[in-house]
Amino acid sequence: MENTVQVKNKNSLLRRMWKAREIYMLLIPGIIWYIIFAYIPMYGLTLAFKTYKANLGIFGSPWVGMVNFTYVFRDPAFFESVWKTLYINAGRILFQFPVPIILALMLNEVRVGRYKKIVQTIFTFPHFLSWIIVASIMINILNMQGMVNGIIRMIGWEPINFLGSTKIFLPMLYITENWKSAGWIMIIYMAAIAGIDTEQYESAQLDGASRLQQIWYITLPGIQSTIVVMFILAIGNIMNAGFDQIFNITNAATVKAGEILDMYIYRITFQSAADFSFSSAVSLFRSVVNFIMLLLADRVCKWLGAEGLFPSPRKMR
Amino acid sequence: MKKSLRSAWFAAALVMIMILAACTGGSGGESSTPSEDGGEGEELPHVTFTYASVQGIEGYDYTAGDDLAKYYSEKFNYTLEVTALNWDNWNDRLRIWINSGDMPDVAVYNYIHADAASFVEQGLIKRLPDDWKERWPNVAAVYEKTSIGPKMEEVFGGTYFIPRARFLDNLPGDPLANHPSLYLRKDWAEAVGFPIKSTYTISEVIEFGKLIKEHDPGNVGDRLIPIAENTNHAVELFVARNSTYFDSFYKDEDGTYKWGATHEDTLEGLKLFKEAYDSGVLSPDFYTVTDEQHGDYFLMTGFAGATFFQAPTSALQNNYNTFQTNLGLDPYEHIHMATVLGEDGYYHQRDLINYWGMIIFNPDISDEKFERYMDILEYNATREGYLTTVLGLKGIDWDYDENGNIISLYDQEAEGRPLGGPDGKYPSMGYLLGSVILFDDFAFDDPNSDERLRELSRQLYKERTEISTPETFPKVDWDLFTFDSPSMRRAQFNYATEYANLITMEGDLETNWRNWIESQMSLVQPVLDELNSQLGN
Amino acid sequence: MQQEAKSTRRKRLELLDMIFLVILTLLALAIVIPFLNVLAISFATQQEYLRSSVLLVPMEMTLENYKALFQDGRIWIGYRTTLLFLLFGVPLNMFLSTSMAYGLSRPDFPFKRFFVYFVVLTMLFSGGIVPMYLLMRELHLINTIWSVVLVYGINTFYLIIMMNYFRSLPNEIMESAKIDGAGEWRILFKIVLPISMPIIATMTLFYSVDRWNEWFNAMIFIRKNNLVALQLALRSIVIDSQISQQLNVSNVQTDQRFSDGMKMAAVIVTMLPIMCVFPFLQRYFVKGMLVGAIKA
Repeated sequence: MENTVQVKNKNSLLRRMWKAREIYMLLIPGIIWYIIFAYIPMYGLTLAFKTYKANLGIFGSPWVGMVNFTYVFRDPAFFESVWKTLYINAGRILFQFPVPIILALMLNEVRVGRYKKIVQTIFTFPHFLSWIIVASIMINILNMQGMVNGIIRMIGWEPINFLGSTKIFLPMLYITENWKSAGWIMIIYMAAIAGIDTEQYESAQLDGASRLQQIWYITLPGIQSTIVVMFILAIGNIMNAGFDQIFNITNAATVKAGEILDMYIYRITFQSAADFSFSSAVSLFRSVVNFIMLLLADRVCKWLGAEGLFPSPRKMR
Repeated sequence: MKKSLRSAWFAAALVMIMILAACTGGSGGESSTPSEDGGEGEELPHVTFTYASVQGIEGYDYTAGDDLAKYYSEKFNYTLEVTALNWDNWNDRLRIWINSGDMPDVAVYNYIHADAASFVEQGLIKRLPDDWKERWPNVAAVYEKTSIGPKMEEVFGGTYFIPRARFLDNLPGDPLANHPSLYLRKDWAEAVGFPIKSTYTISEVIEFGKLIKEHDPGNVGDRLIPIAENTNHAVELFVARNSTYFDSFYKDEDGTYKWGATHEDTLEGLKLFKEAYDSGVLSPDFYTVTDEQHGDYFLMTGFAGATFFQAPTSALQNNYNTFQTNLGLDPYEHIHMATVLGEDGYYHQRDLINYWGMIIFNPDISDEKFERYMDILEYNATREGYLTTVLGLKGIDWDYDENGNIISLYDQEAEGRPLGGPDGKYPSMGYLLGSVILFDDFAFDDPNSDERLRELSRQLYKERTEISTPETFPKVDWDLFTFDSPSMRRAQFNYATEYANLITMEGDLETNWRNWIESQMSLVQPVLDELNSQLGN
Repeated sequence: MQQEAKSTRRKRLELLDMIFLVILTLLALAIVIPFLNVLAISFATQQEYLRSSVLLVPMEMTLENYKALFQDGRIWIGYRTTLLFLLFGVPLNMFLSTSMAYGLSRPDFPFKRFFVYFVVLTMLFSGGIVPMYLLMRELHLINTIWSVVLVYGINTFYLIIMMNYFRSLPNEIMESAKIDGAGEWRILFKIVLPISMPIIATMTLFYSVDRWNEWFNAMIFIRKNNLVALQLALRSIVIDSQISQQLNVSNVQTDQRFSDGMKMAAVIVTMLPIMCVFPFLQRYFVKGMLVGAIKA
């Protein structure tokens, strides 16, 4: 009896797979790509438990167990960088996350179509420039001889050392990141706002709700689900604190304030004598933490009733 | 109809990509350059070198881009494919290539012993044939002069690296002093009553900066920078000039190994550094200066009263010319160059080993290519070849006069461009055409630069070696230099950044310094333990 | 009474509008002015740059910086290489992402969950640069543009956005096409793509910009001098504009140029194409993002 059921199940699975063969055909090019360019190199992560010998290759390098991790955990700079990463990112969530929302709410209130379009274009544009460009623009205008300090001098104030003060370093990070990307993320919220049913506003106007009230009671709740998704993404990225930005914008005075985990990995991989095993160990650690954070955030959101980032298996159509 | 067109386009695009991928993949290994049958290289079969080095020009044709390149490529019948690396990441890139067993045929490598040892151990770079010194005697002669070459041969039991010698005939001192010197505005110093001497202690330099800041004798105003530096040179000026071992381990008089960062001379240097920074003698954001731009403040804009800056003999003429063109002042009257001493009145440094950059070969390079490249090196190690690398073509750019002295036939003024460099007559000039002797040696004899400058430079080098003791200016401790262990590899610091960070940090310097040392001890202590048990006495 | 209330409301509204307008305009200026400054420096002479503290419009325009930049040659090589990345890379990106995203957006099929995790896992774990380099070497792609083209085949984040977009399309259209006997590939090309232009345009833009800004892979995988990527050319101009001597190495005599001006000219030249194309594509992403990033 049991046997027949199993056979039947197998049959039906095969039949269902046969039925879906065309879908598999669609997936094949992508899957091949993923296997070759993502999964095959992933075996390199085993280096975390090996000592890399270039002549033996990654496969042939001898296993050393947890030795690399012992070294990692002995380095105070490692913990420092983990802490910095969390700290900087907490700040990002506080000072970067709300900015695009506020921008979207404001811009949405603007009635002059052409103005709106121009402003939107201006806001979005910097996102498409690489950090190499943005950093050189920022350093150019913010250094002691730069334009901003030129204006400050004209007013008669003392020039400010924007680039070298560890005290202003974090605000600088948040401001430059917002300068570059807030406008782009704003687009996502603008899109969400555009999706809100306009009837709600009409009836609210009839009830005499002010525009601020409309923003608070209609627009914000209307984009809540978007905010949640973006929030999960931000949390899931908690261990990646913008390497490109920090790499391009720090200098000797601020490098300690900005030594996030990725900078640490870069430093140990490239700047001292090469030790790929050591840096693999740190990378693996980071990936695991990211993975856990993402799952946690996803769970929490599902638990809160919002749909998570990834389609939950049961809800998949 | 339209839709099927679209899918057809998609398919076509895909096919195209595949085909192109297949084609390029297939022909990737070989060079597509047809071999040119030059008249001279008839017996020599044509070869193609891949070559990686800094100091190249991206995209430049090093085979036939100019007459000098042509001279070499025809003489030795080769095609040279150069990868020009950038200063800020060349080590990283080379290291990845070498570690992947995929380095170019020839590369110039910045020697780091820990890396080098692992490359040798794993067979990632070529071991030269044991009889190479007999076969290429001129290269071997230069090699012996570098001191590090034979040392490493001893350590590795064979030759893997050919160091390029800084000096050959004109070694200006032993131990060898480093290039950077203090450039000082003579007219400003005179205006504020600062004495003109050939040496200054660090605190005298700071004193000068303070005077300049106070009186602004050049009427620069807001943009005045009393002493212009970048991070590296600031640390060189204030810390390294006071502390011989500021960035290394060392063997103390009692025979034990110690970490130079903990030395009291280092702390004293840091204190001076902080004083300079806090008093505004340095620019408040000196650490944002990228690459070597601080020199511009002195040489081009005239904002700076002094700068501790590169001063290899070969660059002096250029710097003086820059000063003259941009500021319209006579550099011989307005620039004073001096040596900086530690607070104890002695010159501090560790022997700058007589080499920079090592030539390494791919372990799988064909004998033919290897031998050809060695032949090029051999030629460049002869007098005539060497003069060709530094002066250009004989009979066109230089010649001997009746007394056998070298005379320059190149007139930069008339030509309106320099001999080398991206806009020069020979952009390929430099180290890329296979030099084993760097420019420094010849710079002392170069007829293209002013006699006064050559004399001045010689003087500066000599003085440094003289005003020092074997303790403040020691020779290399080869035991330490060749020590390698996993702990040693991890105890690597970017000292310039660390020190600049310490002095820009708030709070008491000495406390910060102690805290920093404390926090690094978990990395440093294992190294000290190993050194003391294996090398100490 | 009622009228009064109305008028006060209108007044308040206007005040609110004014505040928003002022804030938004200031922010827009904060973005535009740095660009103007860069533009001005790129056209200025060194003397003027050094004299003035706030430079927005240069008095004496000069093209010297641009001349020096283009003479330098690196930027041309950069343009050519990066255009090749775009030409071959973006169609590949679009092909791989579209087919896979559409496949994964199909209603339940066996192992769908497995495939979704298969994809998501790659967002978190990667082997690092050395294994990737070894792979490229095995494939004989080192020193060809294909290494850079292929290594960035699918951006998983974009894939998920596309997948969500396709999921939001009414399933009935696809079903009815299926009943008519169309295969999934034909449905994708004939039915889905034509009604998905916003997401296709958005993704094309994203991939193009990523390709445009490509540098790290190009830096590691390509060492041929005539295949230097644009961003690397820019980087070497901005960072290496004077041949540096940090390692106390003597050098050949070189010309001194106004390096800040040339740097800024390089910045302008590198972003110009994005600047030109961008406003025309801009209107697409609102639509594309609306359905893709957000569960509508």
